[in-house]
Amino acid sequence: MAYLLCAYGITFGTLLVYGIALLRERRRLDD
Amino acid sequence: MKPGNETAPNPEADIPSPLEAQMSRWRRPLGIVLGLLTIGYAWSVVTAPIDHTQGVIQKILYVHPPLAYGAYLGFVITGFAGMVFLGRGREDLDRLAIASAEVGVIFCTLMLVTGPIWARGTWGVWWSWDARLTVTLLLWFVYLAYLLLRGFGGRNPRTARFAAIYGVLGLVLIPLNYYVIEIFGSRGMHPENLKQGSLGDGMGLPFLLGNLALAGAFFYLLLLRWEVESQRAREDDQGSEARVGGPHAPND
Repeated sequence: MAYLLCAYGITFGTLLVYGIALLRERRRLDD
Repeated sequence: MKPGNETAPNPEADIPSPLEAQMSRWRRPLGIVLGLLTIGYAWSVVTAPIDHTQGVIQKILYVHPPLAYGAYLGFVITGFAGMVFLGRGREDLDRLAIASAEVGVIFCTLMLVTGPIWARGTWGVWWSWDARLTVTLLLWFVYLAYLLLRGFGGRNPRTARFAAIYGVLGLVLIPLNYYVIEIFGSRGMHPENLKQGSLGDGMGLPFLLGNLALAGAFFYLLLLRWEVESQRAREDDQGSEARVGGPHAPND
């Protein structure tokens, strides 16, 4: 179970952090 | 270009181009669809049947292959956008190629992380040099190198053309990676490619929703990254125009 949670956590955590970083960069460039 | 038409405005040279402006309008609706898909996907993974042989860890199936398809898609878009850039000089598609390579590398990295986690949990080893794993690692290195080239090569036409050719050549690895097991017969940790009916009862829906949700995430991130690339290019253009028209401008 720990391996499964690790795989899903890393995947969706990374995609979420990457998406937030892009949104912040986009907002910064808009200003 | 027809004679006498040399000074006609080229809408594709505007930043953002009409295509970029049109595509960025799709990002928000796609985000809403992605949110709904993710809820359905999470529910279907939680309620999916547990595999008799591997146990609960087999549910990595609903994330690992969809990440692979996202990575393939990213590299294919990079290659085709690069081809159009080479043929027609469309700078907006060169920016799409950069965005797609980056999102593709992220998906490929996650595929290379989730695969060993699955292998460790099921077979007790993190890695084996089977044909598909080796070609996947090579694919990851090829497009990581593409990103390094774009990052360190600067925003100039020669780098863009070289990168486009490199991105197109890298495409060779994608069909090789998909069919490598059939070609070399070295299955290792990977089964043969999935066919209709090869998943167990109740596993088709979470697998389908996993593919749809991760494809949605891929396109959402791609559109967002493309917007960022376009904004960076516009900022660079404005910066160079300001320098040309500034206090040291030659015509002052």
